[in-house]
Amino acid sequence: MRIRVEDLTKRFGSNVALDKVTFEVPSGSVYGFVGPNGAGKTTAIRIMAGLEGPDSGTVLYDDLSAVEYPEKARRFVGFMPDTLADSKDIRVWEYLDFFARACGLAGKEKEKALIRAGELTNLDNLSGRFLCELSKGMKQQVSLARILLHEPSVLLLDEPAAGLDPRARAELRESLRSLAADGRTMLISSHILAELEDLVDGVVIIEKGKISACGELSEIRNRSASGECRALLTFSSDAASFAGKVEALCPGKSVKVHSPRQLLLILDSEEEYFSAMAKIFQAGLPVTALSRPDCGLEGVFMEKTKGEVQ
Amino acid sequence: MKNFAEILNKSFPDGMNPVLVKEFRQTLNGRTLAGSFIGLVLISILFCFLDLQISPVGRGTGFSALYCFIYWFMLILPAAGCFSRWYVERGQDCLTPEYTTTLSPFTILNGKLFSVLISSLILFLTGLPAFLFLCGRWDYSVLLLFLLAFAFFLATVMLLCLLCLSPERRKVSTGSLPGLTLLGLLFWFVGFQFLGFFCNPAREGAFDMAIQADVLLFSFAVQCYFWCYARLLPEQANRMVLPRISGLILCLLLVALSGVCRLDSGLVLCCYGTVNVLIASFERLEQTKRSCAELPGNPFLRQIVLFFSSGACRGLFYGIVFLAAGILLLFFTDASTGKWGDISWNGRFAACLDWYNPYVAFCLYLVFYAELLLVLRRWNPRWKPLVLLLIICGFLSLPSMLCLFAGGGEGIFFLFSPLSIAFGEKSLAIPALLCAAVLLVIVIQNVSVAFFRKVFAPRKGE
Ligand SMILES: Nc1ncnc2c1ncn2[C@@H]1O[C@H](COP(=O)(O)OP(=O)(O)OP(=O)(O)O)[C@@H](O)[C@H]1O
Ligand SMILES: [Mg+2]
Repeated sequence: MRIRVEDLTKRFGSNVALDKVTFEVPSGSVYGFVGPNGAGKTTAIRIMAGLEGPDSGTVLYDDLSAVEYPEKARRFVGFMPDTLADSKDIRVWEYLDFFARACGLAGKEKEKALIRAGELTNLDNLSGRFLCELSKGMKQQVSLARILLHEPSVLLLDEPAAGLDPRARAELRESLRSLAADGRTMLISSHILAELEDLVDGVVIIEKGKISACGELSEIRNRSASGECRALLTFSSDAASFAGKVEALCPGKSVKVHSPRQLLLILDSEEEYFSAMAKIFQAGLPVTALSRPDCGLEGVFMEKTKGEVQ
Repeated sequence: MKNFAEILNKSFPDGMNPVLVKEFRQTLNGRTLAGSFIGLVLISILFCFLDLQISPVGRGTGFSALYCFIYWFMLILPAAGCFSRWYVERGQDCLTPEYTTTLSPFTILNGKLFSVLISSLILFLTGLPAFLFLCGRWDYSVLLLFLLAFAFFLATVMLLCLLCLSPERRKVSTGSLPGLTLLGLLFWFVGFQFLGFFCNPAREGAFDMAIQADVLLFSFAVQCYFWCYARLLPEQANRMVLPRISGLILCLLLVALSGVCRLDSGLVLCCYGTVNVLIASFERLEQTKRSCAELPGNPFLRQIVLFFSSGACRGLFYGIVFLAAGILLLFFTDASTGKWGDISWNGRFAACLDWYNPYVAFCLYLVFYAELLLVLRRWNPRWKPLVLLLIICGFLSLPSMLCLFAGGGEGIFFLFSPLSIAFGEKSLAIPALLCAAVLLVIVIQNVSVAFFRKVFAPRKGE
C-alpha cells in the first residue's frame, strides 16, 4: 500500500510543527524517517496514524484519506508510539488478548494471531508477567507484537529502537527485517542511523517541520555527490604513527588525524578509493575498522540537516 | 482470592466488550477493589456491633450519618482508582494504542464506564445491609438523598471520562488538574451535605433542593456521556450532532417533567438552553469534505444535522464556566441580605428562587452575545472567542449602566439591557429569545464562509 503525504501543516500555537510536508513511500518499501529533535517526526506520524488532525493537508493510503476517515485507515495501519506499552495491573497475555479482541478476532483465529505475533517477537516466556514489570526492550517487543495482531499492511514505527541495548536492537532489527520481507510498507523514525542503514530502501529527512530530502538512498546520494570520497580508518593503536605510511601509499592525497585512533583519508573518486584500500591492506597496516562517513545514511543526514534544534 | 481472580480472568467470552474485559481484568489484578471491599465489610460489622452495644436511647442519627459518610467515600474508591490509572496512562500516552484500534467510540466509552460502575455496584451491595440496618427507616427522603449521591456520582464519572479520555497528547496537566481539583472539592461538599442532612431532623427545604439537584445532575451525566462520545470521534465527522440533539431532547424532557414533579422548568431550560446554544456558537462551523458528504439528502433532516454539526470543545468550557458561576452565585447568596457568604440552608434555597430571574436574563443575553460572536468569527476565524466575548459583553452592558444612571425602568436604554428581561414580562421573552437564537444559528450555518468574507470584509491577502 502506497503512502502519500501532501502539504501537511500543523501548528501548536505560534509554533509551526509541520510546514507543508510532502513525501511519498512506495508500496512495499521500507523508509527511514529521520531528523533532529523537535523536527516534527512524531507529530507527522501521529497524524498519519489518524490520532490527530492536521491544520491542512492530507495523508493518503492508496486513495483513502486518513485525515478524513481515520477509522477506516486504522484497519490496515499499525502504529507504534514512541512511548512504551506501560499499563498498570495487566499481564502481557491479557494486554495482547485485549488488542486481539479489539481487532475483532475471536476463538481459534484469535489464538492463532496471538501465537504468530508472539513468535515473531519472541514473547513466549513473557506472557504471564505484568506489563509494568518488564524492561524497556521487552515492552518494545510487546508493542510490536500488539501492532502485528491485525496484520497491517502499513507499519508506522516511532523510534522503535530508542533505549534498547545492542542485543535487543539486533533482535528488533531481525523482527523488522522479516516483516519487511513480507512486503509491508514501513516508515521507521529513528535517531540511530546505523540501525536503519541496512534495513531501509529510502529515507525521508525532515528538519524544522520541512522536508529537506526524500527518496531512495542511492538517489539522494547521487543527487548530492561531489565526486569526493572519504574513508575513515580505525587503528588498534595510536593512529598518528601510521599517518606517514598511509601518505606514502597514497601520494598526493590528504591524510588527517581524525581522532587518536582514526585517520581520515580524502580521495578524489570511487576508483581511487578501491585501489588505495587494496594498497593499505596489502601493506599489512593494522586497520581494525573501515567506514565511509560521507556515504551512509549518516553522511546524507549530516549533509541535509544543519543541526539546529527547533 | 487469587484463584478466584484467575478463574474469572479466563472466563470472559469472546463476544464481550473488549475494553470492559481489559478494565475488569486490571481491576481484579489491582488491590483497590479487594482492599475497599474488605475495609467496608469490617467497618460495617464494627458499626453494627457498636450500634447494638449502645442503648436504644443513645442511638442517634449522628451515628448513622457517620456510617453514611464513610460508605459514600468507600463507593468512590474503586472509581477513583480507575481514574487515577487512566489519568496516568493518558499522561504516558498509553491510551493511544486503544485509539488506533478499530473499536468504536461507544465501545471504548461503555467499556470504561461499566467497569467503573460494576466495581462501585459491588461495594454498594456490600454496604447496603448495614446501611439499612443503621438508618432504620427507609423513608422517602433517605432514598432521595441516595439518588442525589448516585446522580452526583454518575455526573462525576462522566466528567472524569471527559477529562481522561481525550487522545491529544501533552495537554494533560493544563486542562485536567483544575478540573480534578474542582471535582475533589465538590465531593467533599456533597459528603458534608450528607452529614448536614442527617443532623437536621426537620430536613426543611432539603427535599426540594435534592430533587432539583438530582434532575440536573442526572441530565448533566447524560450530556457528558455524549460529549465524551464526541471527543472520541474524528474531528472531520459531524461529531457534535449527537451531543446537541441529546441536549435538546433533555431540555424538552425536563420541561415536561417539571409539570409532573416539583421542578423549576425555567431554571432547567435556562441552564440547558444556554449551554447548548453557547456550544453551538463557539465552535468551528466550517464544514469539512467528509461532513458535507455525510449530510443527509432530505432537506429537512439536512437542516437539523447542519444545525447540530461539527466543532471543538471550547464552547463546553465556556458554557460550564458561566453556568458554574451562576449556580455558585445562586447557592451562596442570602435572600434577605442579598450578600455573598451567608450560607444558612433555608436562606440559600429562597435565594435561588429570588436570583433566578436575573440569572435567566443573564444567560439569555450571553446567548445573544455568543451569536454575535459567531458572526464575527465567521468573518475572521482567527479571532479568539473569549476576548471577543468580553468585548461584546462590555459593549452591550453599556445600555444597562446608562439606564441605571438615567434612573429608570423606562425608555430606549432599558429595552436593550438585561434588566428589561429580569424585571419585565418573562413568560414570552424567554421562549422567544431562545427561538431567535436557534434561528440565528440556522441562518449562519447556511451562509457560506466565502459569502461572509465577501460581504463583510473585502480584504486582500486572506
Ligand atoms: N501537543 C503539543 N503541544 C505543543 N507543541 C507540540 C505538541 N506536540 C509537538 N509539539 C511541538 O512540535 C514540534 C515537533 O515535535 P515532535 O514531537 O513531532 O518532534 P520529533 O521530531 O518527534 O522530536 P524527537 O526526535 O525529539 O522525538 C516541537 O517543536 C514540539 O515542541
Ligand atoms: Mg518524536
